[in-house]
Amino acid sequence: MAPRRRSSRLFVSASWVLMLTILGALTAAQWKHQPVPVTVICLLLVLTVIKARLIVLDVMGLRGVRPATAAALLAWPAFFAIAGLGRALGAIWIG
Amino acid sequence: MADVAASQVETQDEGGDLLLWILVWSELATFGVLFCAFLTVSLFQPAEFALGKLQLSPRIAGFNTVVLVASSWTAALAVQAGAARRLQQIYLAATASLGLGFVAVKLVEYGQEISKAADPAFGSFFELYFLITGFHLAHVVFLALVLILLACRPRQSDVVMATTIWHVVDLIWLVMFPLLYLG
Repeated sequence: MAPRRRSSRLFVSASWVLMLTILGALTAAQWKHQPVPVTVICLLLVLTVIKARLIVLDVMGLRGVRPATAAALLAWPAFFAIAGLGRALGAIWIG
Repeated sequence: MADVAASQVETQDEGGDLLLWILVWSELATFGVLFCAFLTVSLFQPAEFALGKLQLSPRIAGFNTVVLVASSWTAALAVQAGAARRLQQIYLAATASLGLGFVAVKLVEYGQEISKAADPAFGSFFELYFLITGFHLAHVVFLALVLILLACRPRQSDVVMATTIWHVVDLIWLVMFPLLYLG
């Protein structure tokens, strides 16, 4: 990828990551010393996976360079997002 | 002669690259095991963990997430600066400063939580919380110091290596935040 295009992609992706992080932080801040609803946890975990994707592909610069490494790196946050969601749902169902 | 020198440089680069990815995956594996332990113990002590999470401050942690993500951006800009040595030094110093800012905020947060650590009402929650976040914090401190050293004498291959690990530490925090504070 041309350096200029890579620079522009980094700016766009990093801006998105920062905005999504601020959105996630503001959302999480609404529940101080209160249990967070599962739907909100689900939303924040999805945001986490989206942010992780942008960081791995554009901030770390792996887009189109190392597809296997990028996929493996993306699998890591996705696995723990699913595990975290499973635990939150399990806590509700089990009680 | 030139071919031999070129081959040596290539071998060193490949070796450095392999070492970098071994380091990245060992970090992810270590934190992966810690997250698995946290999630598993939380299944056995659901009430204690739910109570423990209510003692944490998602506001402070959310702010710290923004700080760490911003530092990842400046780290990426440091790599892109490449030959522009002065600009690269500025970006590296900015990354290290944001990292140390993260450490300062985390220490303030610890100050509010440390008194609850020994309370048996929270089960193993705070032991695991301090272990996982403390281990992550140690990484941030160490890497921030490495970035400060690199800002004094930047070399592109070292900058790429240090910033890649920095991004991984950022990635680990992104996953840690919802798991420990909210989930």
